Amino acid sequence: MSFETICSNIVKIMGEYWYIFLVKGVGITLLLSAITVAFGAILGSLFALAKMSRIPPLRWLVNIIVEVVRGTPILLQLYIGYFIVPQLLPFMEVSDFTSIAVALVINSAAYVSEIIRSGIQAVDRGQTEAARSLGLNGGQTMLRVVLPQAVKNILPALGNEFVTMIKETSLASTFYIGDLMTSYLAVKGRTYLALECQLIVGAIYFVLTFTLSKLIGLYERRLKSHD
Amino acid sequence: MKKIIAMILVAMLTMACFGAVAEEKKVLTVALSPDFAPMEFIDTSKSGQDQYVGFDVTLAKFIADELGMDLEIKAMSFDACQTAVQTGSVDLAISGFSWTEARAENFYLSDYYYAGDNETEQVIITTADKAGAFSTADDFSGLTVGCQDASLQADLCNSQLPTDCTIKPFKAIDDAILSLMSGKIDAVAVAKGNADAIIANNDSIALSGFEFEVSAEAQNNVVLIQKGNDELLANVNACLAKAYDQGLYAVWYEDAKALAGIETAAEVTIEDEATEAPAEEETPAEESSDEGAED
Repeated sequence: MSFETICSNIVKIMGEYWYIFLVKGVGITLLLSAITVAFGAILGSLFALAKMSRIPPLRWLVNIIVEVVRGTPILLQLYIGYFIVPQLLPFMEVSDFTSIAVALVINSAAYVSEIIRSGIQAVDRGQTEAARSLGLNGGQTMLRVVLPQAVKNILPALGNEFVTMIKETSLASTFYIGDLMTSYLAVKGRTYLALECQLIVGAIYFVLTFTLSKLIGLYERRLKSHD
Repeated sequence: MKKIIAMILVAMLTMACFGAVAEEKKVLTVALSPDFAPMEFIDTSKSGQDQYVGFDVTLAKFIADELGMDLEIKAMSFDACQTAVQTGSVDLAISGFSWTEARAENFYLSDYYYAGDNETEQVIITTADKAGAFSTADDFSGLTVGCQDASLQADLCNSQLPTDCTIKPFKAIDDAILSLMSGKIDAVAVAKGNADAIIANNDSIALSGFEFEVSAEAQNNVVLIQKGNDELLANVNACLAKAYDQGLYAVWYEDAKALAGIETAAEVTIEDEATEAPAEEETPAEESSDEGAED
C-alpha cells in the first residue's frame, strides 16, 4: 500500500464516482443536518423553556429526556428511532429518512436546550432586576431585555451544533440513508478500496465543516461589532 | 406564547405526516446489507430501489413477484438486518445469511437456497506475497485472522482455527480487508464468492490456500423471517422450491458475478473446474434442507 497507489486510486475513484460523493452524498448530508438543526433548535427552545418553567413535572420530564439523550450513544438512539418509533406510530407510515431525522432532531434538541438555557442564564441577573424595577413584567423582560442579549451567546453555539451534526449524521449510514457516509459504503463495497474512499469522504467532510465554521466565525465577528 | 407553541407543535406533526402515504398494493420489505458482492451490493450508477443489485436482490424480487407484492429493499448494516426482522420492521432479511444455531433459535429460517460457490466454499485470504502459503488450520497459529462480526466466518474461525490464533471481528468485511492491507492482521476469513470479488478488485490480495470445512447446513443460505410468522415462512419456502425447480439459482449467480465484475468460470481458481450449471444439481437445495432438519 504505497502512497502513490493510494493517490492514483483516489483519482481513479473520484473520476468514476464523483457524482455519488459530491452530489448525492453531500446533498443528503446537508439536507439531513439542516433539518436536524432547524427542528432541533425549535424543539430545543421548547425544552429550554420547559427546563426553566415553574411547573416541576414538566421540568423533571425534560430533564430526564435531556440527560438520557446526552448520556447514551447516538448510534443507539438511531436504532431506537429506526426500529421503535415506526412501531409506536403504526397508524402512519414513517419513512426511513423521517425516522432517522426524528432521532437526530431529538438528539440535537437535547444539546440545543442546554445551549439556549446557558445562553439565557449567562445574561447578567442585573439586567432582569433593572428591567423589573423599571416596571416591565416577566414576559416583557424576557422578550425585550434578556433574549436579545442571549441570542448573541446562542447563535454561534448553534452554528457549531450544525457543524457537529454534519459529522454526526454520518452514523445514519448504518441504515443507508444516502448521506455522504452511505456513498462511502456504496463505493467501497464496489471497489474494496476502503482507505481511499475513507480519505475522500474525510476531505469532503472537512471542506463542509471548515467552510461552515468560517462562515459562523464571520457572523460572530459581525455580531460583536454591534457591541 | 402558548399559541405559538401550539402552532409549532401542529407544524411539526404535519411535517411528520408527510412521511405517511397510504399504499394499496401490499409491500414486501426486505432488509439486506449491500456490502457483500456478489450477493448484494450497490450499483453506483443507479439510484433509489434500483441501485441494490446482486443474487439476493434477484431472489427478493422473485419472492415478491410470486407473492404478488411490491418489493421494497431496506439497506442497513449486517447486524441491523437481524434486528430489523426481530422487531418486525421488515418482513424478511435476505443478506447471505448462513444457517447457525443461534439464528435458528431467534428466527424462523427458510429452507436453504443455493448461492453458488459463495457459500459452499469458505476460505481465508491473505496478502499476495503469502498467496497459497497456508494449507492447514495450524499454519495460522500465532497469527491474527479477521472476519465479519456475527457471521458464519466468525463461527468457523472460532471453531476451526487453533486457539493461539487471534480472531478479530470487524463490523464490515471491507474494514478487515483494509486492516489486512495495512498489515494490522494477517488474514481474513470470507466466503469464496466474496473472496473472488475482493481479489478481482485488488492485486495485493490472494487466496491463502486454506479452506474451512463447511458443514452441510452452512453451505447454503437462508432467509430470516420473524419468529411466529408461519404463513410467510411457508410462502417463502414455496418460492425457493419453485426457483430451485426452474434452475434459476445458477443463472442469477452468474449474472450477479458478472455485475460485480468477477471474471467467471475460467478464471475461478483451484479445483473449481466443475462448470457452474451442473454444480447446482450436485447440491440440491431440497436434499440439504432435509439433512439440516435431521440435525
